[in-house]
Amino acid sequence: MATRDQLRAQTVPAVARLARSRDFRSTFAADGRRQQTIIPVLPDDTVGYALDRLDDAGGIAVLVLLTDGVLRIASLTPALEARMVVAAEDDQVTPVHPDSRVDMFFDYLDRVGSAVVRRVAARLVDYGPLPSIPS
Amino acid sequence: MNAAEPERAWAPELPPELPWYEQIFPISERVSYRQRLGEDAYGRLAEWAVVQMRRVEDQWQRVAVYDICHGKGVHVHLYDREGREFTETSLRPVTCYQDVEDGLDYALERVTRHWEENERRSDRGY
Repeated sequence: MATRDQLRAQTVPAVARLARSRDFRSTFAADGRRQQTIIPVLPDDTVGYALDRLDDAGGIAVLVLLTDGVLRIASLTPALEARMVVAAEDDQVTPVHPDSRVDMFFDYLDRVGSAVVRRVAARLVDYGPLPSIPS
Repeated sequence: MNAAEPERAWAPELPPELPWYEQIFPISERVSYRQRLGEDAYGRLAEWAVVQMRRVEDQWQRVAVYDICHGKGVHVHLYDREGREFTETSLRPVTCYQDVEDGLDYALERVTRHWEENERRSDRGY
């Protein structure tokens, strides 16, 4: 059975073909840079995986999900300080758990267009056995 | 062509402009590919390179480089763990601009199918 790395590698030729088009480069180029990081992801990859690769890339990258021949693309950049302040005041900062799935993240972006996201951590707290439910 | 004449390697009409455009595609925390595009003044793809990288102890190192430099057609260079090139293999000819484009697609398909084998060969160093 193919590993997750192998499955991601299989998407690279199609993603790279798209990414070398001038339209893609001009649309997603950051500040006219001549270098770009494009992160191929699988639908059930975790958001934590994508954000780790984003950190490796210095905070700017394009996330690409290829499923059933359809490409879904999201541009990830550090939020400007002003945008962060406004989003915080309006309670519009989206907490994203690293264990959530990437396809759900894309579904969310489809709905809201753009978002300020913040990685959050959660942990299970053991309060002992659950009380029985009276019948 | 006259059989007595040596065959001349194909070369683009214009050299690629500098700097080349580079795109990085990580597929895990320790493996990534780089697609380097050298375009001429008319925006034609004149040269390219596809580089397979791996991260060892927080340092990225080359494993394989596919390119068409020096008029040699599509070929691949393999590097050992010390970064020394230990072999170069010709893969297919390039005789026109369409071959340049097709060769890039071929290299991407090939590197994403053979990356683990390339890593094993890099570890062995032969």
